Amino acid sequence: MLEFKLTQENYSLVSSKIPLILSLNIVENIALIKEVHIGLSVDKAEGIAKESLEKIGLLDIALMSIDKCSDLEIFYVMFIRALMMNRGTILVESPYLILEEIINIEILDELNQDKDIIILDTFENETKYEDYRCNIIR
Amino acid sequence: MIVRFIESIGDKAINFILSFYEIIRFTFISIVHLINPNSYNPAMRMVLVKQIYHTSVTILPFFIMLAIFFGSAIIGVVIVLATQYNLQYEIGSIIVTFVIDEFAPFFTALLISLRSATTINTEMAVMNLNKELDTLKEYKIDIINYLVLPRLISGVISSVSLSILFALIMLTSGYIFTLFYMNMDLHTYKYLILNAIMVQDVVTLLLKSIAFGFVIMIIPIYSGLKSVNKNADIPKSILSGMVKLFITIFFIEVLSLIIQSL
Repeated sequence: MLEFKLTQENYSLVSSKIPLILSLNIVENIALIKEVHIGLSVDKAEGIAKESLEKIGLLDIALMSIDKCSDLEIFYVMFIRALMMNRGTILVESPYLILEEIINIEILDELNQDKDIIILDTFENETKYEDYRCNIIR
Repeated sequence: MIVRFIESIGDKAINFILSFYEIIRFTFISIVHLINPNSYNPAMRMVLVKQIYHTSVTILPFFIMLAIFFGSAIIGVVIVLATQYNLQYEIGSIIVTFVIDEFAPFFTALLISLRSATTINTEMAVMNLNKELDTLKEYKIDIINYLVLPRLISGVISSVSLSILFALIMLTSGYIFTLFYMNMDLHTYKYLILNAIMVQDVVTLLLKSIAFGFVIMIIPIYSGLKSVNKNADIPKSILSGMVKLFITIFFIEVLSLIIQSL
């Protein structure tokens, strides 16, 4: 049986309840976390953000404002932002509240090297997770 | 009827006192963060640079134009009146007191308030409504450090620098008027002004500009960060912020006049 204990200190949340900052562009939204938490310079933090975007072929949206991006692009950016936090788990909450397209799990794997990903969703979206290799907790 | 009237006055008085207490508390917390070196990180500095650019650089052409237009007109009136009342020998101290102590910081404060304070109030209220403040909290980004401090510092820097610029433009306009009305040459004008300027005038300009810059930012930020639950709350938040701001600006101006007259 899979056991986990989540406290606010050990997971980063990806949710429509915590959106991207509208006044910042995509790369600034991602870089903000490392600039604040480890005092990384703007250039270095944005460099790391751009590397992550490049890995999944989204470098072209790096300097775009949020309203120019699709929902799926915004979701991946929120996921990258969560990766920037120094926490062991990424908790994705009801992604299909903001998405119509199916999330490509390979893209998430490409980005994530060492963190656990937990997706919380309702049964009505069960079919959207059919191709996932991971356990589904009912 | 009378009881209701008295109760309504009491409600308003309690709300006013609570609101005043809250804003003083918010100001105190902001000052504590301001003097804490740990509050300054690259993200905060980036916001500071952007904010200074938006508050003082983008406003420059409009500001210089208004300073030349209004500044010249007002300094002209002052010089004409001084000539009429045979106060030519006091013209230096009249210009210095009027321009440096009073008009430059006050007019600059009004312009920055109209240009930036409304923008900042709206920006904070929209961030609040869009749950962007929740994002900052979730990602452990201190709202005071990231949102408040850069704007406060930029307000003070912009207010001081634009007040000095405004004073310089008005003093230049003053020379043009003294040249035409009094046939005064540049050397005499320069001598009169430099003799009239005292340390007290410069300190007054700096202190008033710092106070104006501080309130021009802290009041709209506070107003915007207060709970905004729906779109219709945004105009109310801006209106409330602007009313409080203009009352505070006039209060500072009156207070400075009282202190100077002592």
